[in-house]
Amino acid sequence: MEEYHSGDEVGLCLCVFIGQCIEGIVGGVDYSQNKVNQWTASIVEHTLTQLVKQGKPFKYIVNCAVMQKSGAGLHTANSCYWDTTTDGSCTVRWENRTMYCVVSVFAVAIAL
Amino acid sequence: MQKEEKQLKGPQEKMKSTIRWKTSKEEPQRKSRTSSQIPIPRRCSSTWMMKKEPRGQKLPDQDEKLIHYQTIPERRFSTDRAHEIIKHIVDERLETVEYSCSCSGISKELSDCIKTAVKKLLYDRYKLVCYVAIGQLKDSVVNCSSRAIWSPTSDTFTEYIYKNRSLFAVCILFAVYKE
Repeated sequence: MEEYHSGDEVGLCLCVFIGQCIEGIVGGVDYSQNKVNQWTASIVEHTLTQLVKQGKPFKYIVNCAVMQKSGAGLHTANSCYWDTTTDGSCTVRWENRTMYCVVSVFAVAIAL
Repeated sequence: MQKEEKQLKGPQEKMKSTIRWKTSKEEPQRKSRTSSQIPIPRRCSSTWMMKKEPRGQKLPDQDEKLIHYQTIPERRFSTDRAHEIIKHIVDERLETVEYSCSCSGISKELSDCIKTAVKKLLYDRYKLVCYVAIGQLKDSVVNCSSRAIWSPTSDTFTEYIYKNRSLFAVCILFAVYKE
């Protein structure tokens, strides 16, 4: 599992949850065309729920892409226009024998 | 009413001054502590200046961090306009591109381009997040899902999917209002 985060503290906090959420939902299962929709929705929802439970003043955007391992390549990139002192992101790349899962979380601060 | 006159007689000047006095109309048993005679000046004028700050005055630096409690944007983000821009940029950039390792750099370049172009629309207090994924068209299935916790009245997103002979591209732009 590889992690990439920006925003230092903000990104680090996000990374903790993402890996756990992915493992909990697709850890140890093989790719299934019938279930992939459900998996992506569950990963996104579960991650969001865990983030909101922290009670921090952020708006969250969670994006998840699941791809079957068949030799095809996938490149993802993101670019953000925000306040680098208060906002941050984290991207986690997870894989098992049959699929890749790339989850990106963006946290945008709410001013209180 | 009393009149008091002073006459100064001198060889060349003659000055005359008059002071009028007003007696108060109080009942005899009520006696105020102050004098019952109040001089009324003949001409009385007063000037009163109220300093108005000019409109659009720039706040000093330390106050720039103050948040104006405007929870709803004056101009809501237009997803149609952003979609047109994304479509134009992606179609032009990927028209002649075949999938290869260089798509990693192309995806970064695209996300930066899209973000810069949408920034030029000058939506006040909007933060932008641009996500681009470029994948190879082979016998594989990609499933992409997004969800957000935000304010639906002010925040929004737009997406564009492009496909050519050898690759596909998914571009999503999120616009989040700074509350």
